[in-house]
Amino acid sequence: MNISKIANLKFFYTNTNTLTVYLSLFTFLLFVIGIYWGLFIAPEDYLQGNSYRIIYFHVPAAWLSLQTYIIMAVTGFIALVWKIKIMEIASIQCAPLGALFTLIALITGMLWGKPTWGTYWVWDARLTSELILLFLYIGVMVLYSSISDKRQAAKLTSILAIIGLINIPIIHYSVEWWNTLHQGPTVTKFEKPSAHITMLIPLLYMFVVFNIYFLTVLIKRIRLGIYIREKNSKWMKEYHDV
Amino acid sequence: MISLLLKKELVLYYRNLNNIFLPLIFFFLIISIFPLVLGPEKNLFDKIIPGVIWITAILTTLLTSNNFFKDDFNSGVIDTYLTSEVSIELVLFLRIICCWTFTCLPIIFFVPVVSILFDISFYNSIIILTTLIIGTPTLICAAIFGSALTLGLSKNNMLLPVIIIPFYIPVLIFSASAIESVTSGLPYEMQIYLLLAFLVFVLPIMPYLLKYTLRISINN
Amino acid sequence: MFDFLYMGKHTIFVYMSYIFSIVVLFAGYYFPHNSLKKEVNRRNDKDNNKE
Repeated sequence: MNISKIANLKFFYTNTNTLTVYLSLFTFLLFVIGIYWGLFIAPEDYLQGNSYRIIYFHVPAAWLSLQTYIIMAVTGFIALVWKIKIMEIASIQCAPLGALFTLIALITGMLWGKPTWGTYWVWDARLTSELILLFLYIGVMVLYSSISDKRQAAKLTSILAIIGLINIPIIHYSVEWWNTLHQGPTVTKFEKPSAHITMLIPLLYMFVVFNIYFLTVLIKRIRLGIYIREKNSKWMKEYHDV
Repeated sequence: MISLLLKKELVLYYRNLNNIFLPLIFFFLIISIFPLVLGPEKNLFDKIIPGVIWITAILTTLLTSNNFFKDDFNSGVIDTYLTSEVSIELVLFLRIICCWTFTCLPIIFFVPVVSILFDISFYNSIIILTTLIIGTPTLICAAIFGSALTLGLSKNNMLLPVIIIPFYIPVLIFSASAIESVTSGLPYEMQIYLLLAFLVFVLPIMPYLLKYTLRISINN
Repeated sequence: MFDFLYMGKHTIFVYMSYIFSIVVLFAGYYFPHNSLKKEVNRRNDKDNNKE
């Protein structure tokens, strides 16, 4: 089977129907196992007690928010250069997902910061970069929704996403540099100490689970995008009238 | 060729002097609002005035670059540029420089007046001026990129700031930090060099990026 | 009986963040799910009405 058939919209749409059902059940199961593992099996932390368990949602969401932006920019680049339609759809459908992950990372971070360090928010490098990432996602979504020709909109948002990708490390390092000026060369209180292996393994597991969730929801969103784009085509009408 | 293009830009700006005065008046207005809102305490102002000047500069560049391509788009000139043998990169580069000259340079000339109004020391205001001179072309380039992205849209006036302000943040951070370092006596050269690096990186590639974006924006 | 559910002094924060994340993740899944269903039904209804 030729791998490039997956770029064919009809092939993708018709063959992923049952896949999404199984994949979503699988994701749900993995999440239940992950939550139970994170809440009850992982040991209690010496310093923070049980409130460190928030990291099992906070850290994978933060990693995945950055990863989704990279995937959005890369699929946007492929869509611009090789003009593959499914990459256009995939690129724009990554944006709401990424915004979701960023929101989870920010809110859980605030809820973790309050009991552990006494403050909901601090303007250091990581938190500020995460907030700016949320604004980048929102900018992409707003630009896409305000242009009426959706193919042109996909191309323009791909350009915006690629330029934004270049901008993310610049923002991160400039905010970090600005903060070290203010805080001095002491170890900041957000530096993670080395963690025990029984606390790291659930973290990696949750990262994998979040990735599988990302895959599931992205496939569902691509199906939605394909439907909206190919609503009036012959194969779509035949497929749904059966 | 270049002199013809420059002359055209000069004539366009000269015909409608609003283009030069309005950004300047807007700048002064916004700066004057800050003391009204925050209270006339001098200690407060010494700390925040460089930030206030920079925020106003950002607002001015965003709002004036909104219509950078509007006239050309509506009259179809961009199509002509893209299909003729004129190199649109040269035209765009000259337009960017003229836009900066006529919208930001008046502001920069009047920054000493602002520094007198807010009692900033001479040395500090030199540094504020330097960061503005180096930083505002970068800001204008980013705002023009945003206006090329939102070319066909007539209704959304808030779209351009929402998209472009994340790209302003590095320039903002280094300018603010340079001014802060000067007021506390720390070395500030590194920030200025970084701002120069941003400008030198962004300005040459902007015409090519704009050509690519314009070609997509006008459905070509 | 539910002693094992106690998560330390700041147990409310742990549960709030978990519940928030789970709700948002569910919403993220069900939004495209229901959107697609609604679009297909809308198209089917329009076809039936036109016939």
